[in-house]
Amino acid sequence: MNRLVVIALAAVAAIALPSSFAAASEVTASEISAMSKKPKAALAEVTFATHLHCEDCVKKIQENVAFEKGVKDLSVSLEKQTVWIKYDPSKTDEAKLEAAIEELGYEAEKTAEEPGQDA
Amino acid sequence: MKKTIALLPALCLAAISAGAQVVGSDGHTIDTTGIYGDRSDSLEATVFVARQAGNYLAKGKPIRTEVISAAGLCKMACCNLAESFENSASVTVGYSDAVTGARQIRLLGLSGTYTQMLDENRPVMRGLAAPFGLSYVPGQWLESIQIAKGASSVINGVESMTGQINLEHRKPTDEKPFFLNASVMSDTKMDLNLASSLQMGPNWSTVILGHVSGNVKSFDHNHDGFMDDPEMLQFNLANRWLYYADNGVQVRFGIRALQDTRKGGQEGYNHDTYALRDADPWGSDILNRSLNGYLKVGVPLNEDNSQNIALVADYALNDMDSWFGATSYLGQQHSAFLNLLYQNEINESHKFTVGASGMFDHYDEFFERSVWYGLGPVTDGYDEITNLGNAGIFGEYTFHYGDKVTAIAGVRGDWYNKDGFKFSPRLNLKYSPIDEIVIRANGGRGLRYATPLVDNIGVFSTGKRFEGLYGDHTLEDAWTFGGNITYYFPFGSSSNTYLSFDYFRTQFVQQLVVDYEYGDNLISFYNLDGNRSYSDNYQLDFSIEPVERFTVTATFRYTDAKIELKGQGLVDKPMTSNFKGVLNLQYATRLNKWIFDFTASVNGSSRVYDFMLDEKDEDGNLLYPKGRTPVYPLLYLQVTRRFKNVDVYIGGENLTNFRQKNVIIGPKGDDGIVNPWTSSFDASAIWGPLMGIKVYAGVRFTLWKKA
Repeated sequence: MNRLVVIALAAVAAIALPSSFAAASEVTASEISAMSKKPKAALAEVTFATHLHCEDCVKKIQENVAFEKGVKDLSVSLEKQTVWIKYDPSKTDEAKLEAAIEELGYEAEKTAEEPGQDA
Repeated sequence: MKKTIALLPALCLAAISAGAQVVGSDGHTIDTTGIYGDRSDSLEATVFVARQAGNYLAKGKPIRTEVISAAGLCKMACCNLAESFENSASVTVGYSDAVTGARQIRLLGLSGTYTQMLDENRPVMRGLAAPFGLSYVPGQWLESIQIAKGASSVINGVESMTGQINLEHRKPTDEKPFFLNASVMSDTKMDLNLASSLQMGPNWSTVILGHVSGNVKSFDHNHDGFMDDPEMLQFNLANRWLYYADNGVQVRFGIRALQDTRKGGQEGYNHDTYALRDADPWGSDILNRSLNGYLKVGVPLNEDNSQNIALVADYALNDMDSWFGATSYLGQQHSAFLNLLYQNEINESHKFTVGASGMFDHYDEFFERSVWYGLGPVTDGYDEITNLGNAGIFGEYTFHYGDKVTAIAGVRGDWYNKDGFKFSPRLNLKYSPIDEIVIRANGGRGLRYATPLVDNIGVFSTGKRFEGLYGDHTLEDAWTFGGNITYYFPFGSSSNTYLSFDYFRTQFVQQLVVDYEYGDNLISFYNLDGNRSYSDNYQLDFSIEPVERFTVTATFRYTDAKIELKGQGLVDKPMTSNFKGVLNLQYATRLNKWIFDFTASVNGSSRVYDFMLDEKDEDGNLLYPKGRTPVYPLLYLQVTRRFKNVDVYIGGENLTNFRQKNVIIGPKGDDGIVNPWTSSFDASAIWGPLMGIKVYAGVRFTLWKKA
């Protein structure tokens, strides 16, 4: 009997969790939506041209720049050799973000290149 | 800073080459030293930073390969390699017994001894290193794991029957000068892992890996008089080096040292004073020590590296001193592996590799076992030195027809010192008629020398007498055939939405059979000798990222493993679960600052040994009324919070709190505790979890190299 209860619990959890995750993703989507309703000036975007050699470089930038103050979104393209950042200008600025990339050992020069894809 | 920027291409090239040693340009495990020039494929690939999938099927490889990535290794506690497979249906992990804490895997429904374990394409965990080997690879040392099903490359020998599992460690070229991981579990098990990758100029780099683990206390939660987990203490240290010369020559070498002690069973066991009498607590006492060193040299023979030669040499010393009640097993193994190969990529369509290799094992074993049998104690054993080896030549030809067809034909001719010449062919085919469909097929022969006692370490945790070929080293011989078809769907948030179906069959020509059912209180070791033994496996995998950063993978495996046992005919292979289903859900917030992982599995039933049929629960109900174990679920949950350089995680294992009942079998005394000095005592009939809910917490700190 206990076994049945346990199996039932597992089944319920297996079914319930995806929907809670989906709900979570909906919340996130609505948050993003809400964010997008704010004045566009609230968040700024910048793309830097850089020299990336391999996926390890991509990962290094991703793991570090993502945690810079004010960074809200990030996309690093090995193909385009770019780092695209969405950030809160009240907390950081382009110079600081450029310095953060250079601190990791990569060149960074502002470019008009469009991001290929959001991370 | 300019200097650092100048170093990056060199380090990246070395890092790419390090990765390339696993997957050649055709995706096959054909290279053993990482001798590749520019891997333009990596640079041309469109790699946008996204969450790395945890477990996924590699699309480009000609052999069906499941990859457990670094992200996958962080989904659970993954304190060691055994736990890294918990969310894979291909691999099932179980305990060898209820005493030693030894874990064993099953691939294609067969024991892990039929799976070749590779450490960056060097054969490892062989012989004495096998029973506890999975516990000696800290999960946090690893970068990724590749599970290749079926008959794979012949280059590293043909000991793989059901498949190969290759382990990729953290690289010397990683720009992480300091990594620390510390975790603690509710059962008081603590793990500490350290890694430091250092680059000394463009040519030299090294990684130092350290690990200490142990438990402060052992518990007996089910009050059966035996500790649930042994008291353990492990020290593990490795140092790996890479020299990457300007002319493309690569030299890799490293050493590893390990010591592990574990005491299990009843508290108070002392192997020096233990005798077959009621008063003495029964237990196990194990000391494992090992030392390993390796050297790999790769030399390009021309500028574009289309021709190269490589040498791989490996030496391992494994020393195992173990006592189980009145049984002593003291073993020492010296192993050497040498592989010399030449590779020539003639053009985009044709490539071949030829070489010569050999493997040698020197065993020095002392085994003595006293048990009650019939009317009194009986002592058996042996004290022997055994040399096992094989040496031979091999060739592998790869044909590509664009991206649509890849065919790899490999053959080996090996001389085995006890069995003479053996010929082992293998074939891998991959056909992709359109981008969305990949069809693979493979087949071939596998051969390995059995080490009966250590391959089946659970037999020591019984009161049964051994008979037959337990001191022999049968050359086991099996053929595996199978394939898979994968369809990639054009929907989902990533391009990795797929449905995949596999079928594999392993059929033994010769096998060392360990039969618990041939006689009462007897474990009989004999050769298959023309009888049937096979395993059919069917598996379905589905993976999708329905919305950004939310991944769902679902897998279901069905296994039909049968064996012809003396006096019984063809029966279901005992203690082999017939199915496993796994559902894994992962959600990460933007920039991966929060990661939620959930894994649920359902584990199918196994046929139990005949001596388990009368086992009853506390209410007097039969535990196995249909001769099979119950189906049971397992749940895992983990939440990770990531900060700059620091990850903090908490999680829970076996959240359904399901535990196997009556893990210690035998007649009970007045105190309700099984008498371990009786001949029907058995602590090795394990099919389910030994421990209930466990929770854990841990922290990972990573320091990245700066300019």
